[in-house]
Amino acid sequence: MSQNKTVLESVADIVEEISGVPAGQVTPEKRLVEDLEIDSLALIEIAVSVAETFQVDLPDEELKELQTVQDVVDRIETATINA
Amino acid sequence: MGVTTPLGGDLPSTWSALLAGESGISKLETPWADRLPVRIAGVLRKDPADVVDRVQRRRLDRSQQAALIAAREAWADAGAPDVDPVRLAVVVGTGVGGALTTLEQNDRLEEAGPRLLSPFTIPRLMPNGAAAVVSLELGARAGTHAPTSACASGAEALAVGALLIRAGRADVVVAGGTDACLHPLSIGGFARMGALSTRNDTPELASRPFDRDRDGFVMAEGSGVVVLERAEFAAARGVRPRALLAGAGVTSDAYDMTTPDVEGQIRAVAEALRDADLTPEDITHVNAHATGTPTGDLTEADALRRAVGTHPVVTATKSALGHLLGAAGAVEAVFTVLSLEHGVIPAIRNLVEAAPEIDLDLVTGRPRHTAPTAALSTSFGFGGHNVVLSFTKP
Repeated sequence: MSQNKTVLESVADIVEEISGVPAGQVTPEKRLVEDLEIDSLALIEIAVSVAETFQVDLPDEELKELQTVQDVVDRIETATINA
Repeated sequence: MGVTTPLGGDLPSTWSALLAGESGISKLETPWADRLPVRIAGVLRKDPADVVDRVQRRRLDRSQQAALIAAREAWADAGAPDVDPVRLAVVVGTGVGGALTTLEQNDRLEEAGPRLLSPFTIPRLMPNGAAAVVSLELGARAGTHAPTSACASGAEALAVGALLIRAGRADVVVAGGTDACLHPLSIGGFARMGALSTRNDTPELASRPFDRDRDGFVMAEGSGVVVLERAEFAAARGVRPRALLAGAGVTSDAYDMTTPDVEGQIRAVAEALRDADLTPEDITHVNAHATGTPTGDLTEADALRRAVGTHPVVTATKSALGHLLGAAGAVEAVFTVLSLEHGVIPAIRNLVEAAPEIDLDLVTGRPRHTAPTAALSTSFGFGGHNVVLSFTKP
């Protein structure tokens, strides 16, 4: 993970890579499924990328709870602080 | 018609390079090749990952990307027929499907664990994946099929496509083949059988079908796709076909897993003629399977001489492209159609002196300008698969 990037910026890059939605449009309030058209398999791709980038493993049951981009950022920040 | 091959990223560039006598074979510039006995191959001239979008780059295996690129070109070339989706079928054959994905994700599993596997591992590796990708792209709903008959897969896809049209199950069939599995395992495996050329120092000279000094085939990757239409459907939309897929002969040897049986090949040729209502004398051109293996080429030459005669003008385009495995039959069918359409037959690269046992009219040196009216394209695969397609000028 680049030290210069915020967690949000990194998550936005991951979303762009996986869904094709430009990172600039991946704002905190955007809903993953409804706004960014991330389907269930793409959500798992995001979890894989998050695990690689932040060394944070998102359990499948937690993954389902993530509704928005901000939820993903919060989850990563919580895990990173606790680690 | 559409292709992506070691000679070019599309059909016009591939065909012009083929007629110019270029070679698509090169030294493998990758560290993994260093420990292999064979370090040459036909790598796609245009990396498919650079053509598809970034989402497809992640979600599709390389062989699926190649099929998608060839199918898009074929569909556009056919003028994107306005066909009812429930009358549009897809048949895309493959030798090994998404083998690169299987191997890459297995490495990932061993190195990083199951939670880091791509969720697209299965759709990327399944052998019907490429056919499904094309079906999704075109919205084809009359059935999607994926014949796997090793190096005859691409030709068998066209044979199955013709059957679907004849059986009344589709008006238009998008048919072809794809393979992209250049990897130390596949190269090592073929090399272990003694099937590959070991001319590592002269890659462009390695693939030499029918030549006295041939020493095996050269692995390559790519895809070829054609759009088949019911004759009445094409006529109704005012399209003049480039060629007619007049017949197909499909046989199996039940003889040996890897050694070809001349009788099975002869029966396939005879069936392709009978199915098209053609006689051996009608055939004036053959695009041969001819991979460049010592025994395979002799068996085929014998089969062609006995089943058709020595009069057809024979070419072997694997001399330039290498062996595209499950795509070979489809790509060579495309070349056969272009030869009928343009009256020019590509020369066999590296054919310096034909093997003494061979009695065929082989095109050497430069392309032969002639006007064939009926032609065959032959394909054979491990497992004893023989598929011969017959084409005629409209």
